[in-house]
Amino acid sequence: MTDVRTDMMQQGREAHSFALGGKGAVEDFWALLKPRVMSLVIFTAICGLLLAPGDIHPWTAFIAILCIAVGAGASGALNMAYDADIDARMGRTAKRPIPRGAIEPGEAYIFGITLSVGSVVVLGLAVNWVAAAFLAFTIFFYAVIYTAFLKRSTPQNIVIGGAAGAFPPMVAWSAVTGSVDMASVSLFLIIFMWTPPHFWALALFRFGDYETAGVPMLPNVAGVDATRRQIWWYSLAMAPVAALPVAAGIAGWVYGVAAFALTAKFIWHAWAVYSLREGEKAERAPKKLFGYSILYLFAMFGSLLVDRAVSLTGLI
Amino acid sequence: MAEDMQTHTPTDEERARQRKRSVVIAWSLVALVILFFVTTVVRMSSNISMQAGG
Repeated sequence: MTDVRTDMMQQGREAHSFALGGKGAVEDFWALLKPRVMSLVIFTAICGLLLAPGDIHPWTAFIAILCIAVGAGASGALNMAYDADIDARMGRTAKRPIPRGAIEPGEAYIFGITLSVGSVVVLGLAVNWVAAAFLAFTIFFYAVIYTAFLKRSTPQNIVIGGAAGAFPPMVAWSAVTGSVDMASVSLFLIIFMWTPPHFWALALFRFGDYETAGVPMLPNVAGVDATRRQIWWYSLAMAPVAALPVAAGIAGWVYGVAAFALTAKFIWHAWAVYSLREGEKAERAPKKLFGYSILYLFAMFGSLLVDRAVSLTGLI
Repeated sequence: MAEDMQTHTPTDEERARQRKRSVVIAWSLVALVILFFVTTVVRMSSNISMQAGG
């Protein structure tokens, strides 16, 4: 009798757990965190942390970066939970865990909210509450303002929404200083101005996907030529922004020279996108700009680190 | 009552996934305990050295 009841309870538990989902592998949950985006967040956050004036214990610095990374991953999970319908209709995202059926949207929401709350609370308790509040705002901005409102309603979605991806170095900066300084805004602006040409280059060669999914990206709404023009103007506007860390006093001429060369090449790629309208070269140009843009951001922040290392060691 | 419940006997693969998830959650909790412990030690030692210095 007892055996039968235990058996029924076991079956009930299993039935319950599988009705709620529970089929996802660890790798599927890892994919919900958008690890490639997270790597960029971690890198830019480390730069913000190292460039900020003041001292921070190495362990506290590690906790700060960990919390920022987990917070970024959490907002990625919330984004995937909300956008599961869109993701299922686009070739680039159809194999994500939720559209594939490996994870239920409800599981992804619980996963995302748990990690969001956990990362903010740990950052607040172990580092400081200014950084924690900033991280909470960043998660809210990406998961609610960008994902739930902007993405489906305006072709300016990634212009405004790009702020979410640009906040991590500022969060890391505030982990050291306990405040939000103007100097850290220069790091924010580099990523903020980079985001539109980066995503519009992607949208130019994937705009069929966005059209199918009903996402109002600039090429679908304003047209391909208007997008090429916008990419060109935003890329030109990146030039003075790239010089801001030098003006703000957080970088020297090593960064200045690297930023000049890197931004000049970005503008050259953007010019190719703008000027080439037909043929194979015109089709390849946005792909080249997109590929280069990823390298560009890593290289810009990498050169900030090299610049800081050079000035600290007194090599030059 | 039992008929109302959605029954599903997990396959071996699903059981293996569930086990792996449980192991990762367990290790995450262990990591969290270590994280809080070391953080406490670091904060306490820096407070002590600040008091000694001041």
